[in-house]
Amino acid sequence: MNFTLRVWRQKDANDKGAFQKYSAHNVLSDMSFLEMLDEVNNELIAKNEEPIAFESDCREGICGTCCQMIDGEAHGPESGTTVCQLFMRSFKDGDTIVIEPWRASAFPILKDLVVDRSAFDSIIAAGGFISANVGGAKDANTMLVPKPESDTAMDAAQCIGCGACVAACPNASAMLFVAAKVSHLAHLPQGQPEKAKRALAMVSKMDEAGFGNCRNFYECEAACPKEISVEHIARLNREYGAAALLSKQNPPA
Amino acid sequence: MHALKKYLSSSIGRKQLMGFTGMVWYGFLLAHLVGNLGMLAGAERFNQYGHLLLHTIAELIIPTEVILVVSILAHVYLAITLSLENKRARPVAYEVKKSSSKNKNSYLMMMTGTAILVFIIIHIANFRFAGAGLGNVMPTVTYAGVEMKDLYSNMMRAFSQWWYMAGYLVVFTLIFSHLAHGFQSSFQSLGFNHPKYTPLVKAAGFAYAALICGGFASLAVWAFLQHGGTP
Ligand code: FES
Repeated sequence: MNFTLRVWRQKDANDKGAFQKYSAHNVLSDMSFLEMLDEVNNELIAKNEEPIAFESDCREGICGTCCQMIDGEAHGPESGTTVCQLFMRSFKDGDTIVIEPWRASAFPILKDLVVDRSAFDSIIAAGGFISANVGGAKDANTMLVPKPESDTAMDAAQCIGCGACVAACPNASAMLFVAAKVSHLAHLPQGQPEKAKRALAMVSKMDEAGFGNCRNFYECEAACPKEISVEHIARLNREYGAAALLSKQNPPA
Repeated sequence: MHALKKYLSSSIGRKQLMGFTGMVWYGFLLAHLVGNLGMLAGAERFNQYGHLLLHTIAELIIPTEVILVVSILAHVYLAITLSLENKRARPVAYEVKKSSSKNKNSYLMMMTGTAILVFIIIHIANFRFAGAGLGNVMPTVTYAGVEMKDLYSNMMRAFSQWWYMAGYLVVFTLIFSHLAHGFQSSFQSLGFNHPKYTPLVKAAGFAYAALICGGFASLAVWAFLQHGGTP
């Protein structure tokens, strides 16, 4: 298969950036999207040109490192898939493919397709955890969790923090990411003691980081490689409302 | 105080306020529609009803009007500030961007909202404060020695003009789109999304929007047919 690629190239954070045309030839349909890019890069290196910078790590859809806007869709045309698990058979021979980085002021572009997602780390650091004393492991089943609750918590816990929700959202809002974490812990007994504090702290960090405001477009749900539902956003709204208006917990200064 | 201020300036707090202020107007629209049905009972009944609202129970009506005005001002203010912030959150647009959302009405909220706001201003100017013929003064009638606004002929005169009725129908299509999405959106913002009930909430939003818009629109058509073309 052969493809024409239009790729966003940007030297560094301060560069203006522009699209560049490349051609990918002799691509096998069973290659992953990233392997196709690897081949293009090999050619660029052979020609002594700067290879296209993009991120990847596990390449098996579980780490959330890879992130590209492909033909206007976060992680490309397949639903419930990361870029590394997207295969070239999803495209037609001769297609022109447009590849862009995530675009959001909270995710500044570092180079080409690589963006800085440390805003997500700071949100997690603000409250996306439980405080537990270390010690010997507890016996199994000392804390009972109803199955539907643990299933829902697991659905939310699938979030890999890739940022596709922000990228796909017309408002560049990080609500699905924050909701996944808040809802995951709010469904479990271990998450209860700190739930008000957590919702207040994480939302406050999210607002501070410059993400947009959710307007219930639900593009995030459609783009999420882990298919996390916007039901969790409603849960976050509820947790936050209750924490802000009903609990005695004060918001961070 | 700090806690409340923080809530009201947070992304979620403002979104919830947006949903809440919208809900206030849902309630009002139903009351307004029920009142308008009074015109089917004829000129005298309808004018007496208007007189009752404006004079006899004015103590109730004025606070209600204040609540409605404050709600809509807050709603509009939040819509503008939230959208401006959202623009800033993505200063550089994508070259290609596909939409996979099934929520088509959600993309129209700003457009339909702006059109509705313009409509409300004209509507209030025409019916609450003056005559409907755009620039005319409100006529009066006297029943049993009591002089009152002749709301009925004022309205009939307005709707006897085909372009007035047609504009009204267009506006109600936009209001339908706004209400149908706004209903379920408010539930989501206020934290209610449940696999058992959300389909019902969505259906209820559409049904409510259809009831309100269908109701007002059919009354407009009825009024037009009464005196069509003969003001
Ligand atoms: S590289 Fe790990 S999810 Fe794609």
